[in-house]
Amino acid sequence: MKSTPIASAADTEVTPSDSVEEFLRTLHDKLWVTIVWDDPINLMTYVTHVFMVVFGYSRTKAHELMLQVHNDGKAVVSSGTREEMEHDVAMLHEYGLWATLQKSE
Amino acid sequence: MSGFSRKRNGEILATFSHYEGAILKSLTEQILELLGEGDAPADPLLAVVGISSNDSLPEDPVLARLLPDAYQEERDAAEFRRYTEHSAREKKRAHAHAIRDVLIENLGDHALDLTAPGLNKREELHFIISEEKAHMWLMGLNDMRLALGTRLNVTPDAQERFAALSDENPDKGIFNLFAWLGWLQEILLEILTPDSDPTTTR
Repeated sequence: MKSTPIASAADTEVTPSDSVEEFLRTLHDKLWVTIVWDDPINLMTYVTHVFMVVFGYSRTKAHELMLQVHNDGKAVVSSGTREEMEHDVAMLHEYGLWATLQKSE
Repeated sequence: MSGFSRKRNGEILATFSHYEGAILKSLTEQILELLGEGDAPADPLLAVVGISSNDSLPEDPVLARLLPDAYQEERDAAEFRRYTEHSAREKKRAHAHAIRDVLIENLGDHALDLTAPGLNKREELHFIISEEKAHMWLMGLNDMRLALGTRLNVTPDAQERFAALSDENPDKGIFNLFAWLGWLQEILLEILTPDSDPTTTR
């Protein structure tokens, strides 16, 4: 991942704090997540494969997410707009994973 | 030995006996039958635009596992299902068709008919399968495992539970089939999963 240089104080626009809060609230309202739930049938290697193919995640990241699903019963696998998450869930269902979407908590 | 292997030139070689090919073909046909358009008569106009009149989770647990809800909240789940279930069914049917069509194209109907006279059921048949079709097979094999596993109510301790059953118990045969499909899937995954990490991460 690329690192973004931290802007100096002089570059930062001065924004009233209430509008920042409002901006963050709007942003949060727009954020949805895709959750994959543990199931006893799908193979662990298959779930890892699906995370790599569907999301382009590295093998390491896909493997970690698969373990999180396996150990915790569920894991957030992607986030974005509601429309994007509906697309992700439909893709995961095509692969046979048990996935749902919901508003980010 | 049945299964899949990658040849030196990169092609994927599939190897199955007549008997195994016939079992796979029969399973795809059962999946296709299960995924038929459902009990409710489809509205022809809605069918054209891909909207189904059905909006509730299928009552059959196998079908419910193959076509799960996208939302935990009932109303959102129903709405989503109305607009997507038709295409979800079509995609699953395409996986099953890919397996069935490749078997018939490469082996012929005769080789897959176990009642055909003079057939050596154990004879191994080889054919090349494209990368694209192999991915469809991977998903199709998974659909079969989901169907059989749901029917058998497979739990993490399934191996011990089914091994303890007597050979006369039909569930034991189905479980062996379920385990064989898992084994095929593992071999296919070894061939298809990218070796190195992709350069782009999300």
